Amino acid sequence: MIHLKDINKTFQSNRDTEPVTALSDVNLHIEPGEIYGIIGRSGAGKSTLLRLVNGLETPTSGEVWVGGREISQMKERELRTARQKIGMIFQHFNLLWSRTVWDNVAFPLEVAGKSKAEIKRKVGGLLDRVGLSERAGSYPSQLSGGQKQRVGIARALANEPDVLLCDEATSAVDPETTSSILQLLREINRDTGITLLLITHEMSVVEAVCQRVAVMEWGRIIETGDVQEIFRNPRHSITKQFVKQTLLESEDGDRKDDEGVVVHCSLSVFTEKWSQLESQKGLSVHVLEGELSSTDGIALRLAGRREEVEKAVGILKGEDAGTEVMAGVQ
Amino acid sequence: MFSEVNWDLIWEATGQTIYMVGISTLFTALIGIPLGILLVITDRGRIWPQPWLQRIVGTVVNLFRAVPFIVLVLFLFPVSEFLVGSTLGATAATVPLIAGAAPFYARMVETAIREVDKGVVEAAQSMGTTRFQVVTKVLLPESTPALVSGLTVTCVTLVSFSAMAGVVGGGGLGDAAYRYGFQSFNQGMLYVCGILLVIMVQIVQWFGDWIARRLDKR
Ligand SMILES: Nc1ncnc2c1ncn2[C@@H]1O[C@H](COP(=O)(O)OP(=O)(O)O)[C@@H](O)[C@H]1O
Ligand SMILES: [Mg+2]
Repeated sequence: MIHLKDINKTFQSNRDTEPVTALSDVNLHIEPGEIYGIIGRSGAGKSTLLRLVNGLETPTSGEVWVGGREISQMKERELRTARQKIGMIFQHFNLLWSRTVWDNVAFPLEVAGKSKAEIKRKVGGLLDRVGLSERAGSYPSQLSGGQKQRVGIARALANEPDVLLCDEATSAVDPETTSSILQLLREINRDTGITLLLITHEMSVVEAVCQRVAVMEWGRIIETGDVQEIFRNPRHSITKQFVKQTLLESEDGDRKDDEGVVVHCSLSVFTEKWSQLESQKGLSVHVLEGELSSTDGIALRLAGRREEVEKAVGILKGEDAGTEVMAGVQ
Repeated sequence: MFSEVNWDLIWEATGQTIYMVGISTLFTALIGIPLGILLVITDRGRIWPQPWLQRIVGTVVNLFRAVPFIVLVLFLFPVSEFLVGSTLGATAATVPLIAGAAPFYARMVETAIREVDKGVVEAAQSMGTTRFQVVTKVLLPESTPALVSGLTVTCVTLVSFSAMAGVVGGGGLGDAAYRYGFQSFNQGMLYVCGILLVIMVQIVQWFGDWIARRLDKR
């Protein structure tokens, strides 16, 4: 559905300053109906990559293909029509404050030249879909962040796009709202088969919705793969950091000050060594639940006296190369 | 004191002032808004980058703004009187008034348009808008309260400018205050004209603020 081939992008903001390289040798292939995540730290080039997909940026070299058509070669008029089939949502929602919820959702339909009757019918359905029918007459300033993003989603879906681009769509809302927004995106993907390209700096978002993920750093894609696989076996140090971040986040807040380590190992290693760990005095073993299904291995927090923890890590590491210490003192 | 006031002259002068200010406010908006928009969108990184056009428009606007209003009046009044006919003093006065106020307002429009959230413009572009649609559907509606406030300030300025233009031949309350008040040693005429100008300014300010507040949904 989306293909980026050998993309390079540099910004020359001023004649006498060095050009900024935002993307280098980027290749990315996204299947129709897929939920694909791109994760990376701030400034990694994620937004630039996303903006190539709807032609808000043009690559310095390389090709951008969406739905079998080359976006990067399109003339303006053609590009405008193509954009109607590529929805986009934003971190800061980017709604028009001067328009009501209803009129915000009607905006892309007006732009596409739809009839009054069709706009009326469609907007009603879209607001229903995102659960905001009752707020149709409200202005964005009267809505919560989560509601604003729902308006953004309804607006992005108005022209029945094949692709939905999400630029940090949940970075400005609280965790609960995040999960409800992600839930909505997942449902829309399931019901319409829309291809979702989602960028984020939070691994938990990737984990919650994405099937595949690309990790970016300094304008390059440094690792790609199945989300489960990446969690189980992160190769690049940046990826490891992101995985570690979710493991730490999901722990109980009251354990924060308690020093210890988070260890990831296969289930077979865990069952084999469990009795040994259990017999160790002054060591507490805490299984971090809900992170990974048992077939993918298991994450444990080992806490207690330093020597005991180190010993336990040694036992788990043993002969199995797959055991990985994710965080904490060693 | 007020017994010496010639109310017929006052009402005629009031009508002339309203006429001058009304016409010139209208044309100031019609010229200032497009100029202000042009100053923003032709900028680098905006929707229609045209560095040369931007420089030319910017220079012309600054030139007119740098010339003191009274000089504009003295230069342009004879020209406009010749253009629109010598009998139409108030109409002729609108030409220098517009020339003085439009560049002033254009800069205010520029500021207002610049303050429109770039993210919203980007969102609109991601939905396939033309440049024209970005202007009409995003930049203008999203800056309306600021455009109205700016026009209010401009209109207030035009009331006082019109008093100056009036003295040189446009008529209106400024002219009446000068001729029938100051020059004729008629205190009553002078005060009434002054009070009416103050009331006019108050009404314009109050009405403009009210509209701007009603339009602002932020
Ligand atoms: N329009 C631009 N002009 C100049 N530099 C830019 C522009 N857009 C992005 N960049 C630069 O490109 C790099 C990547 O930015 P971005 O794609 O926004 O990263 P991310 O979304 O991952 O935080 C940054 O170094 C940024 O400063
Ligand atoms: Mg970004």
